Amino acid sequence: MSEPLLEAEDLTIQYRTENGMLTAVSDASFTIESGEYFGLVGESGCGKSTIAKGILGGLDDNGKITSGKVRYKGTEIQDYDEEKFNEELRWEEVSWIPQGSMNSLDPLQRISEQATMIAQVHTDLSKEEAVSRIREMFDIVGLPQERVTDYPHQFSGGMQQRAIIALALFLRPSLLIADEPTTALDVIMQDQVFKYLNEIKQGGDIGMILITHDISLVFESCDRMSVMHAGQVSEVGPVDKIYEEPHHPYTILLKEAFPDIRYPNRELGVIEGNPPQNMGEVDYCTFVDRCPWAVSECDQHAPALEPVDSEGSHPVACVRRDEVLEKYRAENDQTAQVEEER
Amino acid sequence: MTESDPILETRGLEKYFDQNTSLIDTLLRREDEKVQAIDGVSLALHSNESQGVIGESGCGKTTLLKTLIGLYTPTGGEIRFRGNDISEFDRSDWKEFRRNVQIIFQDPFDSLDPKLTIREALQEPLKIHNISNQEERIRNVLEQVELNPPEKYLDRFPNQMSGGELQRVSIARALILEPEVILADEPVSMLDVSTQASILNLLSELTEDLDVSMFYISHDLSTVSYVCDRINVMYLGRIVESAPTTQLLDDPQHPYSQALIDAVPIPDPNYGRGYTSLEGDVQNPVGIGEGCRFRERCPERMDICEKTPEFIDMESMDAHQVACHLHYDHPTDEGTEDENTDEIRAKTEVST
Repeated sequence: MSEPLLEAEDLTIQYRTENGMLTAVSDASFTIESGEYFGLVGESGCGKSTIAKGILGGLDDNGKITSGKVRYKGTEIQDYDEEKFNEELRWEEVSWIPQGSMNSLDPLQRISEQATMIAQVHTDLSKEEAVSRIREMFDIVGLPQERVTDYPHQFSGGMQQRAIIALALFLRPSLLIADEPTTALDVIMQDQVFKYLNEIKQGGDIGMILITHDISLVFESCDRMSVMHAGQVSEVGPVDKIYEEPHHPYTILLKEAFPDIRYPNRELGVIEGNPPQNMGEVDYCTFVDRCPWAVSECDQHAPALEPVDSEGSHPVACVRRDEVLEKYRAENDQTAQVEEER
Repeated sequence: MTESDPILETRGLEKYFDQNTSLIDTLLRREDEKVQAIDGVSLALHSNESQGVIGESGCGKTTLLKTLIGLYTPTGGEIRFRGNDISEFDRSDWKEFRRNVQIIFQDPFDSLDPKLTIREALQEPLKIHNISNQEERIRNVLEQVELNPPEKYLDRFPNQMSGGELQRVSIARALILEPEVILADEPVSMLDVSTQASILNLLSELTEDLDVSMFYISHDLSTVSYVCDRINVMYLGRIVESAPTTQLLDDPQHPYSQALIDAVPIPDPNYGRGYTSLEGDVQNPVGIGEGCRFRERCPERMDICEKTPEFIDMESMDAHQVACHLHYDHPTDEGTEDENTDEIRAKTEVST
């Protein structure tokens, strides 16, 4: 296979706080191939948005990539600051749809004007070319072409979000980073947005990182995914493998905790406790205090991401990676039996 | 009051808001168009029942909740508590009502006083209602919401607790007066998945174990279905469908309910759900007059939809009501009325 589109290798990101260095992301590794949709799932505070900002050189002033590498099409970009990133990659190579981005359109400018401005800064497209291209993009995201000259307030929430996606796609980037793109939308609106994101994928030349807390969106829309817990990547792999055979305790329990409208009578799984705040070096598994299968080794070092399959497509960071799924299944069969006997 | 009478009931409830009127509007004597936030809602909550009200943002569900608890005065229709109209309540009736109808808010970080310890927060309602053995009640209620041991939490302030724990305190505060009805407004939408599950399980157990009924208001169908026996689907101020939970999920009758259910993502990569075909957005509920509220977006739209559909019982289904012209017969203009209406006419003729 050719060079991966984006590669994160042992990425550690820390924030300087009053109480010392807070480790938001710890030794995170994953790769994204070109044209691939990749889901990054985890609870709030697990570091998923921090990773995106780290890649984009957009960390807050007190945040820093302290070790590890980020490669975009083979070029190391972990040391790019926001200015350099904007100059070299933003819009043309990597587009970002930030969280709560519906509010990021300029309310005083028509969409077409905002598009022309981006084009002027980053390309030598003429004004007419830029407008005709944004009209094309409106078509792709299912908005009427003639509405490119509308102001943002003339759109509904879902349409604004689609206009943002149109802008993000407008200079034909290879990677789209979408941070909770539909969290503020109602479910029907959300579905409309994903309908078009999925159509864009059929084109095959754009990859996406979808950052979300909603595991069902990732299962539905992505090819591969990674699950994060308190700064550590727990598990990476193709979505169907992670769905069928999750190997990390957190993934197993997260899946159980997720409501599924098909089975309203199923008892939901519960994950006890809360994720820890990691200060300084993280030399333990961050899930240890919440894990029902934890052993003393879990406290002693951070588990490495090692594959559980022969092809190496499904790495898991757990010292008991080969036994927890079986244990979980056995325990659940037992409880099911006990309930039946009752 | 008999066993089968509802505890809390609304009949044709309406809440219209005035819009800001400008000087020019007044000078030109323009008719002020009302915001029809709730438009003829009839619901009946029986004891030990938990009912969900779901709908998208702007459908009026929060207005409904605020009207139910007496924060808004309805502009039409009535609310009955234990069979009595609340518009005729005097001071002591209101105090009784407020003791028996409690609310759980969406955001636990905002709905608890940051300067009160958990003990003080739970004591306050007891003081107001002059209830003795406060300490014992506080401990019991904390155990009920699974904050064990209670001593660990009693002297903490809200900022020392996690979101899930705080939402448990909010639930405890609602339960401490042993109410008959709980109104819950999106109680898990601010929480992470792992904590959300435990709160949903708790709410579901509480309504089963304690003698309490609940209205659960949310936009999220998948969480509502875990807690509620019955679901009411709301669209632009009206209930469009009401049915037992599994029946509604398996066999929705209103095109809007169908669209809403179909749009919920399924956590299964092999499911192949397909995407919604609905376009557009919820209208503004301003001066929208008559007719089916959903007709602008409805894939099944007919001419008759300009008339407001009746909320009818589905004949073939148990306790299933829907407001849609697709599901009942209409007399036609040519006089070729179908059997159903003929029958009704025959009956009316007999009675006259």
